[in-house]
Amino acid sequence: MSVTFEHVSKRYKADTLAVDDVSFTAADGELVVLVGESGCGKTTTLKLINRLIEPTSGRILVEEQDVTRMDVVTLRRSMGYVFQSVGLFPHMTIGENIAITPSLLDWDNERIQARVDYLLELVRLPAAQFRDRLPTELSGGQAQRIGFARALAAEPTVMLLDEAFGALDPLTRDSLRDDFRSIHTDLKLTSILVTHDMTEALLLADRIIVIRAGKILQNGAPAELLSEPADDYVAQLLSSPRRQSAQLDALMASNQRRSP
Amino acid sequence: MRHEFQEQLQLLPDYLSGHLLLTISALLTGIVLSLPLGIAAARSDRVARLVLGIAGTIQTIPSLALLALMVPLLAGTIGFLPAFIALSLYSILPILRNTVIGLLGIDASYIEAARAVGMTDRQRLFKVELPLAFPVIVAGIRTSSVWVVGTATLSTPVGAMSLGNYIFAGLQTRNVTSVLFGCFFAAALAIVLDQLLGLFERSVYKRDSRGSKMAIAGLVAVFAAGLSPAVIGGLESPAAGELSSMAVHAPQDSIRDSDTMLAGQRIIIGSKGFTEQYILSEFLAAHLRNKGAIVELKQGMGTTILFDALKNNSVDIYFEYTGTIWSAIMKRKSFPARRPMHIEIEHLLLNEHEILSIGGIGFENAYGLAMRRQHANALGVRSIADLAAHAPTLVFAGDLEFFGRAEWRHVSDIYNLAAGSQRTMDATFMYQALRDAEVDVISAYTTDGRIDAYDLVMLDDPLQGLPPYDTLILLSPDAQKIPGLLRALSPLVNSISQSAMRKANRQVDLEGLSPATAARRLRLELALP
Repeated sequence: MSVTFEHVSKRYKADTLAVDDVSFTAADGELVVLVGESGCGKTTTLKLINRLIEPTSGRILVEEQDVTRMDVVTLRRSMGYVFQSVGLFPHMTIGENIAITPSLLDWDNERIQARVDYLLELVRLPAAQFRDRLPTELSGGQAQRIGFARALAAEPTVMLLDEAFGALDPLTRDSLRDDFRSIHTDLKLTSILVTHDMTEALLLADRIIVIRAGKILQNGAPAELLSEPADDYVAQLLSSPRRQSAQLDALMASNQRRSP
Repeated sequence: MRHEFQEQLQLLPDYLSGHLLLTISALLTGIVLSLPLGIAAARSDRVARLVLGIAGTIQTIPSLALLALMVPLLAGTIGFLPAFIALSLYSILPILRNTVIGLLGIDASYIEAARAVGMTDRQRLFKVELPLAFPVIVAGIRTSSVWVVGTATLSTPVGAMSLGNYIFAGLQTRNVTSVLFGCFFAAALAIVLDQLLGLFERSVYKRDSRGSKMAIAGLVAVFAAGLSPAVIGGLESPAAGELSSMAVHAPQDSIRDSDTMLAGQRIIIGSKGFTEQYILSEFLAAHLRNKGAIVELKQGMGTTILFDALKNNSVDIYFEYTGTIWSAIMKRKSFPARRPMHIEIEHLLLNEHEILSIGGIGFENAYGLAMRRQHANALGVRSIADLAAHAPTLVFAGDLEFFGRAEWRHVSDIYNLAAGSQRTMDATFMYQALRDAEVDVISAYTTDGRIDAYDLVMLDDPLQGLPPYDTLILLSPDAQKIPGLLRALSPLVNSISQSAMRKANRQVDLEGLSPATAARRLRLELALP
């Protein structure tokens, strides 16, 4: 399913535009990353899609349908949403957490149980071991894996991810990122990810949208950004992953020289 | 001691069930009102401030005052209703506050997750917010239950039966066993309720369905016990009928006089909260039961509450003193002689309140000023007039009402006593304080048995500053229509002398008899039909 922004703005107070005339399209099956500094409006942009926030002007279309004309609850149930603080309900077991949206949609119990077990395996947490535990017993990485399973439960076609890998340690983050990338491809999802981490954006994205002060500065494939940054700010954002990459290259090269 | 214990135990089923019924219905009402209010309040800041403000204000009203206020607000209705309403209001704040705090305290990430997975507002409330706030809300209910169990003991003065009857009667008649009974069972009840609610909360939280079923079963059992005094009635000893009681009595206990029209009539006798009134109400109850009436006693109330209840037919009969009617009810500032005062009182009672005075019971229980005989002699004081010269050095003690009443202002003015210092205390402790020289002059009751026992002297009142306090038998509008009641009461007019009453009071205050026993002895002595 494609997601299209047409001249969307969001005004919180009289004078500040959090989102300023934003237009872009995330094509069906695409993984689009919104990147920018904190407070640039990228999270607001994401939340406009499942109407956790309502736009001030402009239209957001999901597969040609204006989201503001859809029933908000139906809209949200059709999209997966993963965010940094996860928000697993502490009074429900892991299985119940995953089953929330399907049970809101009145799936029959058998189908829900099968779905829960399938998703637990998909996020690499053995169902038999984890299904009946409480979220308090999970590590940060495990909790976010359940967060993904919950978001995927009702077979959404659109996934919204807000700093979904932000709170994890590097190893966990890498493995979860890889897993998400393959889930995205396997399930033919349209995913929109928000991050402030340009490296993450470059590694994951089909397309990167750079946002500053509510405006889109550049919208293109990672290779495009790297070869032709739209302006100094984008170049500056890219400088950190470039420098890291150069340093790593140098390190590896010197290592090779030293070895016989 | 064993006898006394048994006598108290026999009252337990009625008092405990009254207490339980009040507590649990007030608590349930509190929960039913507070939860929706709390939920609404947590949605909007304005509503939250408003309802928490109102509930907080109610809470600052002293509980006894809130209970007493309900009686005039309900046009003189006494008994279960005013106590129930006041306790319900009282139970609201902790539950309301904790509901609001519990809901507002939920981590924002859970709210965001609930919205994002596609819950409606209603689903979010019931599936996420209330379950997460549950421990905090239950903590509020527990606080409330302990408060309500405690405060329910104060419903005795508005005529609702509770464990407070033990405490009020015990304090007034110096019966420590009775006071301890009331305290023990009130505390036990508070602990049991609190623990059951705690068990419920913990087992729901731990998803232990056996535990929560046990807790619910326990709460239901407590409630059922409250509804059916018969369940705990098994404690009653076979000698119960002989011991008499302050509770409702079945007519078969006492029908001896079958040719009376009173058989099977329900009559409610009220009393104030001091020894003489407890004895008189028992005395009257025994007299009417003997005629076959079914008597209910509502004891330990205050003057205005009792008078309003009589007007409103919530009480059928009680004993009131002329001086009290004159100053506390008619609010008169001047004090005429006995005869014109009587005529005016009877006239006003009948014409304005439809209350009938069928005459005096025989004695006067006046307020008088009393001193230690030795001290009075040493100062050369014989009458109140002699006090003026010594007033600046004297400590005056009055009962809870005395210094607020017109009689005191009048006496103080005409005898010039204003220079003395004043202490207000419970009537029970006043006499002891005088005996032990902690105070110098007290507002004694002329029928009190402790005047002789402590070697006190009543001071003369040459200017008649204190009005007469003849004890009248008052009937409510409805009671006047009960066939045979007037005839049954007529032998009581002028039947009890001052000395007989003083003796009965002494038996309770100093010799440790129960008011019921003292009343029975009084009846034997008077050989009434």
